[in-house]
Amino acid sequence: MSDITSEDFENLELLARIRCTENEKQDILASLKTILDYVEQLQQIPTDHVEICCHPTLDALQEVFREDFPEKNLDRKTFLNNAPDKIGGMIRTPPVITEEP
Amino acid sequence: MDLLNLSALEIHKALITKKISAIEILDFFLSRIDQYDHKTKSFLKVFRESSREKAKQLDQKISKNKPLGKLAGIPIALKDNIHIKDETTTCASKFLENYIAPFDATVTRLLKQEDAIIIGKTNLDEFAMGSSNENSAFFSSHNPWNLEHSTGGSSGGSAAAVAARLVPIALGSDTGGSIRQPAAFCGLVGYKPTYGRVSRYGLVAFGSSLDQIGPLTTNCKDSAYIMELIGQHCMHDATSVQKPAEDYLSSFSKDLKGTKIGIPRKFLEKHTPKNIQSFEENIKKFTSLGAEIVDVDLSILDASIGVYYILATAEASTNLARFDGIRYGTRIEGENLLDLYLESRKNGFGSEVKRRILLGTYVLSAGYKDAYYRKAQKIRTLIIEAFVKAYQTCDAILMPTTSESAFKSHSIRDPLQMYLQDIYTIGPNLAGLPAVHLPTGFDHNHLPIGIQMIGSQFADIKLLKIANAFEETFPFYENVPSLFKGKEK
Repeated sequence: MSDITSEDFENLELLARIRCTENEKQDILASLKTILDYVEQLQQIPTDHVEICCHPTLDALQEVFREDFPEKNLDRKTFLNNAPDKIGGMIRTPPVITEEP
Repeated sequence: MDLLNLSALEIHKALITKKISAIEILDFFLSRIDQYDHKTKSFLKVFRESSREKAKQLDQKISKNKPLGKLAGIPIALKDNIHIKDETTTCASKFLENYIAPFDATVTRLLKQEDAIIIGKTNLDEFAMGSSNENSAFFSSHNPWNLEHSTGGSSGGSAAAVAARLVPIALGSDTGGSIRQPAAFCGLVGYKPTYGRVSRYGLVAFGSSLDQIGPLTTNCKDSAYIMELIGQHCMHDATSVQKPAEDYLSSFSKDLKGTKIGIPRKFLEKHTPKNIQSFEENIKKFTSLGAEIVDVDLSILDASIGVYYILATAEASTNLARFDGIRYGTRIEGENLLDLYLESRKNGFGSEVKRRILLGTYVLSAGYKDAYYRKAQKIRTLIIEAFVKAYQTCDAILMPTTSESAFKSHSIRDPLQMYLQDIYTIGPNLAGLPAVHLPTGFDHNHLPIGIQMIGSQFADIKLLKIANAFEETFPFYENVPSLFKGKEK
């Protein structure tokens, strides 16, 4: 049985920057344990000299880089269109640096 | 003109031969949406004004004998995780409820270029995470063949819209089966291209090494026609393969003589679908059409669900990190920046999305990454190798798409049990292979059933050719769900 604890779960929430509701916590923790138990079976498959795969059709790709030249891209107005809080052409956020240097 | 029973291609031909106008075609489908969509709840948004405007422009072009695009007159719906400039892309999430796409997805641009009429955005499981369409933050869609049953997911809205004949073609996205499984539940052709064949630019990413956009149609020729237009290189997607658009339809023939169909017997013995009898009957049909049946070993696919739910959730945890409430999305202010992130994401995401992000974060975290993520990546290589070996002896592999027909809505509550639904569809995503669901009949509850065909990498044309030839044995597209057969008011 997966040994993920409530404390582990709270650390996970912090890592993922997600807060679950009280109703969700128990349900999601229980399902994480079940799913992690299920995937344990993968440990039975020998993979000692097997390369990892991160892209299934990598061999088919040719040169993917283009010349490095500036292009006209998204204009500021369009970019800010979806910003939840903006001021003077900038996005407003809570302070990032909160301590004295 | 009986638009209800015409394919998209036939509708387009009727337009360019002036048998019908673009506005007549559009009004037909808009009326059907008005009359029937409250039953299927397939659309999140319908573009009545802009699509009528486009139809009028097309009719003006026709009256002046100007050249028309290859999709002229065809209404198309897009799953609401595909961008249309200046329209909302919600991903069926509260987080993006008011998010307006600042650019067209490449597929959207290509459709517009060819004079398609983009009629609306369809419902999905939130951020494409689900197999039932029950995870939409807004509402669930309903299966046109029986409204109490699931459409499947995550492209459930697209599937329901086409099956109910509210639109002749819809695009969906497929990460672990999200085009093919709803196609299976709703009795449609659902096509997932080879990974990299269709641009992902403008598709909100779920699993970047797995996602592909593809069509849901009533028949194979319509899917092939769309693939001719959207299956091409895109400079904005570095995973898009440098191949130009290809001609699919001219190579179509009914002849399956000499075609080798691989059946993964050992895998199917362990994972026998409930509709195995229908599956065996379809194998016999292939034989009667001149195909040769061979056995292939895909027993490694036992591991596919475990591999997928590690890799896809890991990729999703990274892809959904951008939804932080800073630049876009629903922001909930907090005492500080961390609080803003935590509260915005708590409020914006549904439970299934949270579950997958947390699982993905876990398998990538220090101390666990090797045991889970790297291990899964290695087994992915084994899966790819098993398919490569199988294709040395066959042209296409035949598998079920689902174990049985559409389940009753909200009947599967356990997340793992829902994940296990994907056992037949996940392999092609992991291996980057083209795969298609083809409806072949009905079960005793008069719900659609069918088969899945899987091709080798970049053999999209060959795969659709085989599917099209097989489709002739049972033209499922002649069946319209009885609730949706009526004349428009």
